[in-house]
Amino acid sequence: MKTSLPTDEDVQERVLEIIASILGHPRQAVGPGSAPGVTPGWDSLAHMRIVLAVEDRFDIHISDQAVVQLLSAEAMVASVITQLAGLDQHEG
Amino acid sequence: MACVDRVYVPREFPQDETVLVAELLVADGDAVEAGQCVAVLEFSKASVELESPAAGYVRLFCREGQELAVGALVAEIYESGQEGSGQADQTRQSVPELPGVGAGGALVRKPGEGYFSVRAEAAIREHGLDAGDYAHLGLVRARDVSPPDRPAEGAGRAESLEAEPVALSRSKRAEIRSIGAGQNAYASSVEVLVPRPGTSDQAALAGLRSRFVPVILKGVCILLKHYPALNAWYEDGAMRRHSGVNLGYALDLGQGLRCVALGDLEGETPEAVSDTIMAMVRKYLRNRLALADLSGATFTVSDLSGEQVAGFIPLINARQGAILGISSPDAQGMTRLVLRFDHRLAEGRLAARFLNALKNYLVSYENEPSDR
Repeated sequence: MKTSLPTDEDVQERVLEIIASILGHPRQAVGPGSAPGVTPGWDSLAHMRIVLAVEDRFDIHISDQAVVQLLSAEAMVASVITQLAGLDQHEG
Repeated sequence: MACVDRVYVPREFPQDETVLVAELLVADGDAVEAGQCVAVLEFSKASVELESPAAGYVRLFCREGQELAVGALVAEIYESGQEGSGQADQTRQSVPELPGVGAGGALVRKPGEGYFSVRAEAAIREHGLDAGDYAHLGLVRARDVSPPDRPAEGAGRAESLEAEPVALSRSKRAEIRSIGAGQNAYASSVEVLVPRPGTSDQAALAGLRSRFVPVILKGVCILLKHYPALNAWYEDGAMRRHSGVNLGYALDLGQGLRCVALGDLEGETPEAVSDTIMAMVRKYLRNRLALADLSGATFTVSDLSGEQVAGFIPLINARQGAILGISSPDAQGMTRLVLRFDHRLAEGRLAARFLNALKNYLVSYENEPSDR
Protein backbone atom coordinates (compact mmCIF):
# COMPACT_ATOMS: atom_id res chain seq x y z
CA MET A 1 0.00 0.00 0.00
CA LYS A 2 1.34 3.38 -0.94
CA THR A 3 2.00 5.68 2.01
CA SER A 4 0.92 9.29 1.74
CA LEU A 5 3.56 11.98 1.55
CA PRO A 6 4.03 14.28 4.52
CA THR A 7 2.76 17.76 3.92
CA ASP A 8 5.22 20.58 3.26
CA GLU A 9 4.48 21.88 6.75
CA ASP A 10 5.26 18.47 8.24
CA VAL A 11 8.55 18.32 6.37
CA GLN A 12 9.52 21.78 7.56
CA GLU A 13 8.67 20.97 11.14
CA ARG A 14 10.63 17.72 11.09
CA VAL A 15 13.68 19.33 9.48
CA LEU A 16 13.65 22.19 11.97
CA GLU A 17 13.34 19.69 14.83
CA ILE A 18 16.41 17.85 13.53
CA ILE A 19 18.40 21.06 13.21
CA ALA A 20 17.42 22.22 16.71
CA SER A 21 18.25 18.82 18.16
CA ILE A 22 21.69 18.58 16.56
CA LEU A 23 22.63 22.17 17.38
CA GLY A 24 21.32 21.78 20.92
CA HIS A 25 18.94 24.72 20.62
CA PRO A 26 15.28 24.93 21.70
CA ARG A 27 13.00 24.20 18.76
CA GLN A 28 11.67 27.78 18.86
CA ALA A 29 15.20 29.13 18.32
CA VAL A 30 15.38 27.59 14.86
CA GLY A 31 13.42 28.79 11.85
CA PRO A 32 13.53 28.72 8.06
CA GLY A 33 16.11 31.50 8.12
CA SER A 34 18.55 29.56 10.28
CA ALA A 35 21.78 28.95 8.39
CA PRO A 36 25.40 27.88 8.64
CA GLY A 37 27.58 30.69 9.91
CA VAL A 38 24.49 32.57 11.17
CA THR A 39 22.94 30.19 13.66
CA PRO A 40 25.31 29.47 16.56
CA GLY A 41 26.96 26.07 16.34
CA TRP A 42 26.07 25.43 12.71
CA ASP A 43 29.56 24.71 11.42
CA SER A 44 30.67 22.24 8.75
CA LEU A 45 30.56 19.28 11.15
CA ALA A 46 27.07 20.15 12.39
CA HIS A 47 26.02 20.64 8.79
CA MET A 48 27.11 17.12 7.85
CA ARG A 49 25.35 15.71 10.90
CA ILE A 50 22.15 17.54 9.97
CA VAL A 51 22.34 16.32 6.37
CA LEU A 52 22.83 12.69 7.45
CA ALA A 53 20.00 12.93 10.00
CA VAL A 54 17.68 14.40 7.36
CA GLU A 55 18.65 11.61 4.95
CA ASP A 56 17.86 9.00 7.59
CA ARG A 57 14.61 10.64 8.65
CA PHE A 58 13.16 10.89 5.14
CA ASP A 59 14.99 7.92 3.59
CA ILE A 60 16.51 10.06 0.85
CA HIS A 61 20.06 10.72 -0.39
CA ILE A 62 21.45 14.23 -0.67
CA SER A 63 24.32 14.32 -3.13
CA ASP A 64 27.72 15.61 -2.08
CA GLN A 65 27.35 18.45 -4.57
CA ALA A 66 24.00 19.43 -3.05
CA VAL A 67 25.28 19.26 0.53
CA VAL A 68 27.19 22.52 0.27
CA GLN A 69 24.37 24.25 -1.58
CA LEU A 70 21.91 23.77 1.27
CA LEU A 71 22.86 27.05 2.86
CA SER A 72 19.79 27.52 5.04
CA ALA A 73 17.10 25.52 6.80
CA GLU A 74 14.69 26.76 4.15
CA ALA A 75 16.87 25.36 1.35
CA MET A 76 17.09 22.05 3.16
CA VAL A 77 13.32 21.85 3.55
CA ALA A 78 12.84 22.66 -0.14
CA SER A 79 15.34 19.99 -1.13
CA VAL A 80 13.52 17.35 0.93
CA ILE A 81 10.13 18.33 -0.48
CA THR A 82 11.49 18.16 -4.04
CA GLN A 83 13.07 14.75 -3.48
CA LEU A 84 9.97 13.27 -1.84
CA ALA A 85 7.81 14.54 -4.70
CA GLY A 86 10.21 12.98 -7.19
CA LEU A 87 10.12 9.65 -5.40
CA ASP A 88 6.35 9.78 -5.24
CA GLN A 89 6.11 10.39 -9.02
CA HIS A 90 8.56 7.59 -9.65
CA GLU A 91 6.57 5.14 -7.54
CA GLY A 92 3.23 6.30 -8.92
CA MET B 1 20.61 -16.84 7.82
CA ALA B 2 24.20 -16.74 6.73
CA CYS B 3 27.64 -15.46 7.44
CA VAL B 4 27.67 -11.84 6.27
CA ASP B 5 31.35 -11.08 6.70
CA ARG B 6 34.62 -12.33 8.10
CA VAL B 7 37.47 -10.77 10.05
CA TYR B 8 41.01 -11.86 9.21
CA VAL B 9 44.43 -11.05 10.63
CA PRO B 10 45.71 -8.14 8.48
CA ARG B 11 49.28 -7.85 7.23
CA GLU B 12 50.02 -4.76 9.26
CA PHE B 13 53.81 -5.03 9.30
CA PRO B 14 55.75 -6.77 6.54
CA GLN B 15 58.09 -8.52 8.96
CA ASP B 16 55.33 -10.19 10.98
CA GLU B 17 54.13 -13.62 9.88
CA THR B 18 52.21 -14.27 13.09
CA VAL B 19 50.49 -12.16 15.73
CA LEU B 20 49.32 -12.61 19.29
CA VAL B 21 45.63 -12.35 20.17
CA ALA B 22 46.19 -9.98 23.11
CA GLU B 23 42.56 -9.35 23.95
CA LEU B 24 39.12 -10.39 22.79
CA LEU B 25 36.64 -7.57 23.26
CA VAL B 26 33.52 -9.63 22.50
CA ALA B 27 32.30 -13.11 23.39
CA ASP B 28 30.90 -15.79 21.12
CA GLY B 29 27.35 -14.93 20.10
CA ASP B 30 27.57 -11.25 21.07
CA ALA B 31 25.75 -8.76 18.89
CA VAL B 32 28.20 -6.32 17.26
CA GLU B 33 27.85 -3.11 15.32
CA ALA B 34 29.73 -2.34 12.14
CA GLY B 35 33.01 -0.72 13.15
CA GLN B 36 32.93 -2.14 16.68
CA CYS B 37 36.29 -3.43 17.92
CA VAL B 38 36.25 -7.19 18.40
CA ALA B 39 39.87 -7.99 19.21
CA VAL B 40 43.29 -6.49 19.90
CA LEU B 41 46.17 -8.11 18.03
CA GLU B 42 49.74 -7.60 19.13
CA PHE B 43 52.22 -7.27 16.28
CA SER B 44 55.96 -6.92 16.81
CA LYS B 45 55.77 -3.12 16.58
CA ALA B 46 52.32 -2.19 17.77
CA SER B 47 48.94 -3.41 18.88
CA VAL B 48 46.09 -3.17 16.39
CA GLU B 49 42.37 -3.15 17.07
CA LEU B 50 40.29 -5.24 14.68
CA GLU B 51 36.85 -3.92 13.86
CA SER B 52 33.81 -5.82 12.71
CA PRO B 53 33.09 -4.90 9.07
CA ALA B 54 29.36 -5.49 9.51
CA ALA B 55 26.62 -5.57 12.11
CA GLY B 56 25.45 -8.98 13.31
CA TYR B 57 26.43 -11.72 15.71
CA VAL B 58 30.01 -12.74 16.21
CA ARG B 59 31.55 -16.22 16.13
CA LEU B 60 35.14 -16.30 17.33
CA PHE B 61 37.79 -18.57 15.86
CA CYS B 62 40.56 -17.86 18.36
CA ARG B 63 41.32 -17.46 22.04
CA GLU B 64 43.14 -14.79 23.99
CA GLY B 65 46.82 -15.68 24.09
CA GLN B 66 46.67 -17.62 20.86
CA GLU B 67 49.18 -17.05 18.09
CA LEU B 68 47.64 -16.62 14.64
CA ALA B 69 49.17 -16.46 11.20
CA VAL B 70 48.69 -13.35 9.08
CA GLY B 71 45.55 -13.96 7.01
CA ALA B 72 44.04 -16.35 9.56
CA LEU B 73 40.34 -16.16 10.35
CA VAL B 74 39.60 -14.30 13.59
CA ALA B 75 35.80 -14.18 13.52
CA GLU B 76 32.74 -14.53 11.37
CA ILE B 77 29.75 -12.22 11.54
CA TYR B 78 26.32 -13.82 11.19
CA GLU B 79 22.89 -12.38 10.65
CA SER B 80 21.49 -14.48 13.47
CA GLY B 81 22.88 -15.35 16.90
CA GLN B 82 22.36 -19.09 16.44
CA GLU B 83 24.60 -19.57 13.42
CA GLY B 84 28.04 -21.13 13.22
CA SER B 85 28.88 -21.68 16.89
CA GLY B 86 29.66 -25.36 16.42
CA GLN B 87 32.08 -24.66 13.64
CA ALA B 88 33.86 -22.04 15.69
CA ASP B 89 34.13 -24.31 18.72
CA GLN B 90 35.56 -27.08 16.60
CA THR B 91 38.15 -24.75 15.07
CA ARG B 92 39.25 -23.35 18.39
CA GLN B 93 39.56 -26.76 19.98
CA SER B 94 41.91 -27.88 17.25
CA VAL B 95 44.35 -25.08 18.04
CA PRO B 96 46.65 -25.34 21.03
CA GLU B 97 46.46 -22.36 23.39
CA LEU B 98 50.16 -21.59 23.11
CA PRO B 99 51.34 -22.96 19.80
CA GLY B 100 54.85 -23.23 18.42
CA VAL B 101 57.32 -20.55 19.26
CA GLY B 102 60.11 -19.78 16.89
CA ALA B 103 62.01 -17.21 14.89
CA GLY B 104 59.67 -14.60 13.48
CA GLY B 105 56.86 -15.72 15.78
CA ALA B 106 54.74 -13.51 18.00
CA LEU B 107 55.81 -15.30 21.20
CA VAL B 108 59.08 -15.81 23.02
CA ARG B 109 59.37 -18.70 25.50
CA LYS B 110 61.59 -18.25 28.54
CA PRO B 111 62.13 -21.54 30.37
CA GLY B 112 60.67 -21.32 33.87
CA GLU B 113 59.29 -17.85 33.26
CA GLY B 114 56.51 -18.46 30.74
CA TYR B 115 55.62 -17.06 27.35
CA PHE B 116 56.23 -13.44 26.39
CA SER B 117 54.94 -11.49 23.43
CA VAL B 118 57.71 -10.00 21.30
CA ARG B 119 56.81 -6.49 22.48
CA ALA B 120 56.61 -7.54 26.12
CA GLU B 121 60.02 -9.18 25.88
CA ALA B 122 61.45 -6.05 24.25
CA ALA B 123 59.97 -3.83 26.97
CA ILE B 124 61.47 -6.03 29.70
CA ARG B 125 64.90 -5.73 28.10
CA GLU B 126 64.53 -1.97 27.52
CA HIS B 127 63.60 -1.21 31.11
CA GLY B 128 66.02 -3.73 32.68
CA LEU B 129 63.16 -5.62 34.35
CA ASP B 130 63.27 -9.16 35.73
CA ALA B 131 61.27 -11.53 33.54
CA GLY B 132 60.83 -13.81 36.56
CA ASP B 133 58.58 -11.19 38.16
CA TYR B 134 55.99 -12.00 35.50
CA ALA B 135 56.25 -15.80 35.67
CA HIS B 136 52.94 -16.07 37.53
CA LEU B 137 51.09 -14.70 34.48
CA GLY B 138 51.98 -17.61 32.19
CA LEU B 139 51.51 -15.41 29.15
CA VAL B 140 52.93 -11.89 29.35
CA ARG B 141 51.62 -9.22 26.97
CA ALA B 142 53.01 -5.76 26.36
CA ARG B 143 50.27 -4.22 28.49
CA ASP B 144 51.40 -6.32 31.47
CA VAL B 145 54.87 -4.80 31.43
CA SER B 146 55.31 -1.33 32.87
CA PRO B 147 58.58 0.55 33.49
CA PRO B 148 59.77 0.90 37.08
CA ASP B 149 58.08 3.66 39.04
CA ARG B 150 60.09 6.78 39.62
CA PRO B 151 59.36 8.99 42.62
CA ALA B 152 57.84 12.22 41.37
CA GLU B 153 59.60 15.42 42.31
CA GLY B 154 57.74 17.33 44.99
CA ALA B 155 55.44 14.40 45.65
CA GLY B 156 55.32 15.28 49.33
CA ARG B 157 54.00 18.75 48.61
CA ALA B 158 51.23 17.41 46.41
CA GLU B 159 49.55 15.23 49.02
CA SER B 160 46.51 17.46 49.21
CA LEU B 161 45.93 17.27 45.44
CA GLU B 162 43.89 14.45 44.04
CA ALA B 163 44.59 12.94 40.66
CA GLU B 164 41.80 10.76 39.44
CA PRO B 165 42.72 8.39 36.61
CA VAL B 166 40.44 8.65 33.60
CA ALA B 167 40.49 5.77 31.13
CA LEU B 168 41.46 6.77 27.61
CA SER B 169 39.18 5.91 24.73
CA ARG B 170 40.17 3.14 22.36
CA SER B 171 40.69 5.60 19.55
CA LYS B 172 42.98 7.70 21.74
CA ARG B 173 44.99 4.63 22.72
CA ALA B 174 45.27 3.64 19.08
CA GLU B 175 46.41 7.18 18.28
CA ILE B 176 49.08 7.02 20.98
CA ARG B 177 50.39 3.79 19.53
CA SER B 178 50.52 5.36 16.09
CA ILE B 179 52.34 8.56 17.03
CA GLY B 180 54.55 6.98 19.67
CA ALA B 181 56.69 4.82 17.40
CA GLY B 182 59.70 7.14 17.65
CA GLN B 183 59.36 9.15 14.46
CA ASN B 184 58.26 12.27 16.34
CA ALA B 185 61.25 12.23 18.67
CA TYR B 186 63.51 13.22 15.75
CA ALA B 187 61.06 15.47 13.94
CA SER B 188 61.69 18.95 12.63
CA SER B 189 59.44 21.22 10.60
CA VAL B 190 59.35 23.97 7.97
CA GLU B 191 56.51 26.34 7.12
CA VAL B 192 55.29 28.51 4.26
CA LEU B 193 52.38 30.89 3.81
CA VAL B 194 50.19 30.41 0.76
CA PRO B 195 47.30 32.51 -0.49
CA ARG B 196 43.95 30.82 -0.08
CA PRO B 197 41.78 31.89 -3.00
CA GLY B 198 38.29 33.22 -2.47
CA THR B 199 35.54 30.65 -2.49
CA SER B 200 31.87 30.90 -3.25
CA ASP B 201 31.12 28.48 -0.45
CA GLN B 202 29.73 30.03 2.67
CA ALA B 203 32.52 30.48 5.19
CA ALA B 204 31.12 27.99 7.68
CA LEU B 205 31.10 25.24 5.06
CA ALA B 206 34.36 26.13 3.37
CA GLY B 207 36.11 23.11 4.82
CA LEU B 208 33.59 20.75 3.26
CA ARG B 209 33.93 21.39 -0.41
CA SER B 210 36.40 24.03 -1.48
CA ARG B 211 38.98 23.36 -4.18
CA PHE B 212 41.83 24.49 -1.96
CA VAL B 213 42.35 21.34 0.08
CA PRO B 214 41.77 18.89 -2.82
CA VAL B 215 44.38 20.72 -4.89
CA ILE B 216 46.83 20.50 -1.99
CA LEU B 217 46.19 16.75 -1.70
CA LYS B 218 46.67 16.27 -5.44
CA GLY B 219 49.87 18.35 -5.40
CA VAL B 220 51.29 16.37 -2.48
CA CYS B 221 50.73 13.10 -4.38
CA ILE B 222 52.58 14.46 -7.40
CA LEU B 223 55.50 15.83 -5.39
CA LEU B 224 56.00 12.80 -3.16
CA LYS B 225 57.19 10.89 -6.22
CA HIS B 226 60.01 13.40 -6.56
CA TYR B 227 60.76 13.43 -2.82
CA PRO B 228 60.84 9.73 -1.86
CA ALA B 229 62.48 10.48 1.50
CA LEU B 230 59.18 12.04 2.58
CA ASN B 231 57.24 8.97 1.44
CA ALA B 232 59.18 6.59 3.63
CA TRP B 233 59.71 5.64 7.25
CA TYR B 234 62.67 4.91 9.47
CA GLU B 235 63.25 1.46 10.87
CA ASP B 236 66.25 -0.34 12.30
CA GLY B 237 68.74 2.21 11.04
CA ALA B 238 67.41 2.27 7.49
CA MET B 239 65.04 4.27 5.33
CA ARG B 240 62.12 2.15 4.16
CA ARG B 241 60.63 3.64 1.04
CA HIS B 242 57.01 2.97 0.21
CA SER B 243 56.60 1.56 -3.26
CA GLY B 244 53.78 3.96 -4.09
CA VAL B 245 51.85 6.93 -2.75
CA ASN B 246 48.77 6.39 -0.61
CA LEU B 247 47.73 9.71 0.86
CA GLY B 248 46.27 9.75 4.36
CA TYR B 249 43.81 12.44 5.42
CA ALA B 250 43.27 13.03 9.12
CA LEU B 251 39.62 13.36 10.06
CA ASP B 252 38.35 14.40 13.46
CA LEU B 253 34.67 15.17 13.35
CA GLY B 254 33.92 14.60 16.99
CA GLN B 255 34.14 10.81 17.10
CA GLY B 256 37.89 10.45 17.47
CA LEU B 257 40.80 11.04 15.14
CA ARG B 258 40.92 8.77 12.11
CA CYS B 259 43.42 8.80 9.26
CA VAL B 260 41.66 7.64 6.13
CA ALA B 261 43.66 6.41 3.14
CA LEU B 262 42.66 8.22 -0.07
CA GLY B 263 45.11 6.52 -2.45
CA ASP B 264 47.20 8.24 -5.12
CA LEU B 265 45.27 11.33 -6.19
CA GLU B 266 47.64 12.54 -8.92
CA GLY B 267 45.24 11.78 -11.78
CA GLU B 268 42.09 13.00 -10.03
CA THR B 269 40.29 16.30 -10.51
CA PRO B 270 39.78 18.44 -7.39
CA GLU B 271 36.07 17.66 -7.63
CA ALA B 272 36.75 13.91 -7.60
CA VAL B 273 39.09 14.34 -4.63
CA SER B 274 36.39 16.30 -2.86
CA ASP B 275 33.87 13.53 -3.56
CA THR B 276 36.27 10.97 -2.10
CA ILE B 277 36.68 13.05 1.05
CA MET B 278 32.93 13.51 1.38
CA ALA B 279 32.38 9.77 1.04
CA MET B 280 34.88 9.21 3.87
CA VAL B 281 33.19 11.89 5.99
CA ARG B 282 29.86 10.13 5.54
CA LYS B 283 31.41 6.77 6.48
CA TYR B 284 33.10 8.37 9.50
CA LEU B 285 29.91 9.94 10.80
CA ARG B 286 27.95 6.72 10.24
CA ASN B 287 30.75 4.74 11.92
CA ARG B 288 31.24 2.65 8.78
CA LEU B 289 34.94 3.14 8.15
CA ALA B 290 36.46 -0.26 7.40
CA LEU B 291 39.98 -1.39 8.19
CA ALA B 292 40.82 -0.96 4.50
CA ASP B 293 39.77 2.71 4.70
CA LEU B 294 42.21 3.26 7.55
CA SER B 295 45.19 1.19 6.42
CA GLY B 296 48.26 1.74 4.33
CA ALA B 297 48.67 5.52 4.19
CA THR B 298 52.24 6.55 3.37
CA PHE B 299 51.97 10.30 4.12
CA THR B 300 49.27 12.23 5.96
CA VAL B 301 47.65 15.63 5.56
CA SER B 302 46.03 17.10 8.67
CA ASP B 303 43.54 19.85 7.86
CA LEU B 304 42.56 22.16 10.70
CA SER B 305 41.66 25.05 8.41
CA GLY B 306 38.09 25.02 9.68
CA GLU B 307 39.15 25.32 13.32
CA GLN B 308 40.33 28.95 13.40
CA VAL B 309 43.97 28.18 14.19
CA ALA B 310 46.87 30.28 12.93
CA GLY B 311 49.23 27.31 13.12
CA PHE B 312 49.82 23.94 14.76
CA ILE B 313 52.40 21.15 14.91
CA PRO B 314 51.07 17.87 13.51
CA LEU B 315 52.48 14.52 14.66
CA ILE B 316 53.86 11.96 12.23
CA ASN B 317 52.02 8.65 12.07
CA ALA B 318 53.61 5.23 12.42
CA ARG B 319 55.36 3.89 9.31
CA GLN B 320 55.47 7.39 7.85
CA GLY B 321 58.20 10.00 7.66
CA ALA B 322 56.30 13.26 7.28
CA ILE B 323 52.96 15.00 7.68
CA LEU B 324 51.53 18.22 6.28
CA GLY B 325 49.37 20.52 8.43
CA ILE B 326 46.93 23.08 6.97
CA SER B 327 45.94 25.98 9.24
CA SER B 328 43.14 28.53 8.93
CA PRO B 329 43.51 31.52 6.64
CA ASP B 330 44.44 34.79 8.35
CA ALA B 331 42.82 38.19 7.82
CA GLN B 332 44.83 38.63 4.63
CA GLY B 333 43.69 35.27 3.26
CA MET B 334 47.08 33.63 3.81
CA THR B 335 47.20 30.03 5.04
CA ARG B 336 50.11 28.47 6.89
CA LEU B 337 51.30 25.08 5.66
CA VAL B 338 53.65 23.21 7.96
CA LEU B 339 55.63 20.15 6.93
CA ARG B 340 56.82 18.09 9.86
CA PHE B 341 59.33 15.43 8.91
CA ASP B 342 61.52 12.75 10.47
CA HIS B 343 64.99 14.28 10.50
CA ARG B 344 66.58 10.83 10.26
CA LEU B 345 65.22 10.60 6.70
CA ALA B 346 65.43 14.15 5.40
CA GLU B 347 66.73 17.57 6.33
CA GLY B 348 65.33 21.08 6.42
CA ARG B 349 66.60 22.04 2.97
CA LEU B 350 64.84 19.14 1.27
CA ALA B 351 61.66 19.75 3.26
CA ALA B 352 61.74 23.45 2.36
CA ARG B 353 62.11 22.60 -1.33
CA PHE B 354 59.15 20.24 -1.14
CA LEU B 355 57.01 22.85 0.57
CA ASN B 356 57.95 25.63 -1.85
CA ALA B 357 57.27 23.33 -4.78
CA LEU B 358 53.83 22.67 -3.31
CA LYS B 359 53.26 26.40 -2.86
CA ASN B 360 54.21 27.05 -6.51
CA TYR B 361 51.93 24.23 -7.61
CA LEU B 362 48.98 25.73 -5.73
CA VAL B 363 49.56 29.22 -7.13
CA SER B 364 49.97 27.98 -10.70
CA TYR B 365 46.93 25.72 -10.38
CA GLU B 366 44.74 28.60 -9.33
CA ASN B 367 46.04 30.73 -12.20
CA GLU B 368 45.16 27.98 -14.65
CA PRO B 369 41.48 27.24 -14.13
CA SER B 370 41.20 24.16 -16.33
CA ASP B 371 41.55 20.88 -14.47
CA ARG B 372 44.77 19.04 -14.94
